[in-house]
Amino acid sequence: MKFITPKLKETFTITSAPEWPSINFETDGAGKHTWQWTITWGRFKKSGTEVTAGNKWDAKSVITNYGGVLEVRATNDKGTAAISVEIKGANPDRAAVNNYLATKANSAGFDKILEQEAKFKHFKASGEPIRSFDNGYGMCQLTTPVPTFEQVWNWKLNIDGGLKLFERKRNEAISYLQQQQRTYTAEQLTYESVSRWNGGPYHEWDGKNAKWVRRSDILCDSHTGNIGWSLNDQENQGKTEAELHKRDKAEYSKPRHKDAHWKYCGACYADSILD
Amino acid sequence: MPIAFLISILLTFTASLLPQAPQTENEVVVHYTARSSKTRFDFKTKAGKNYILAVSRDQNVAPNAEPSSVKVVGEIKGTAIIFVDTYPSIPGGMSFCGAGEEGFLRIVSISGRQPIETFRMKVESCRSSIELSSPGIEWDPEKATLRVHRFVGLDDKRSIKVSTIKIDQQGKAENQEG
Repeated sequence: MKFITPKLKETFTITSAPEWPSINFETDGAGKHTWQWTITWGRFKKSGTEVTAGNKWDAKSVITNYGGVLEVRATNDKGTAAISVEIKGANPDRAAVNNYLATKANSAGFDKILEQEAKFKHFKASGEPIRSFDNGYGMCQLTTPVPTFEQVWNWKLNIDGGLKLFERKRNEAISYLQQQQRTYTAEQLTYESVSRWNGGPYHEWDGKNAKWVRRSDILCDSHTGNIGWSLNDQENQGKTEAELHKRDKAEYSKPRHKDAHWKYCGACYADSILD
Repeated sequence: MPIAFLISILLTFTASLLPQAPQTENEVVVHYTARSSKTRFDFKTKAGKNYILAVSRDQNVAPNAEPSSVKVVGEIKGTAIIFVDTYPSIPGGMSFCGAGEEGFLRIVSISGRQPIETFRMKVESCRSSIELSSPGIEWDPEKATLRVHRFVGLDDKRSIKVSTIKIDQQGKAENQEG
């Protein structure tokens, strides 16, 4: 027995929607078929068995949310045949990602993080999901908890995973801003959430005017994404951003020395991507 | 070879949620290095005594990371040193916690022949969503008692937790969760 379709190692592409393709397997055999399938990509693997009355089977339903190499072994009462095909992905555009985020509650600010950090890309030019050096997968570079196979290949599920983490930071922001029954605006919540995504609070309480204000102890280097200077550090006091930038910029490309007078700061990160 | 850093810390702080302890003659000089996921502290008290011990961090701190700050909260002469050591968080994808910090409140008993860490509490964590809430860490030297106010918990279960930690004459700590 042998396969008539598809071709050996034929490539199928997940659309940017994402919509998984039909992959119609057909043998030259007859009668009841058993289809043993395994889809593998890197450390991720899923397998199963389907049975059909005839010699045709569409794998779409079992491969939805997965990608990589799909191996199929067909068996009938006369013999077996094996084949493998490849499943790759296509990137969504910015509008598709923003439209998806618009359907998600509590996502304000996360679109800016995605734009800054991932440029809305989920797949490499090869059609495989982006994978960072520390095993961060997909658009949201999910690392911990270890993403599922589905989150690695379905960019919408990947965003859901990122949003879950963002929501944690948003909850932190809410508990911080509402302490002692203080009030805050939606915009303040967005800045506070994005700042905490990178690290640390954005606002401080202005007791005199009874409102939250941007923290006054940090001056940001607007040439960078999240570098700033603590104005509590005497070495930084009385100096302009330009002066401090000129003093410290050569150090930015090296690991930060603990005695450095600049620091990474979530408030500067929020300013950088939200302003 | 790790480089040792010498810092001198007075028991007063102008910023942060650490306590505003009265300025006294107390002064602790801390010398530290980091190696293999441990930080080795060398404390020298005003009285001239040296105490050396190595303490663990956790999985949210890179194995080779040096403290970004060490702040002494208090000292019970001849009994205990209380301090907070803070480290950069291990960053995640998309700059998650790239500027985050992980901080540990520790009590070290110095009443015996060797200093012993008798208490450790996470008081700051970008990775685990822990931070001090106002008024932060309160140290009452007369009662040898710490009160720690923290935001803890994830998602909608997040709340303020107040812990009262009493230090006995051996430098041991008893935590009474609030």
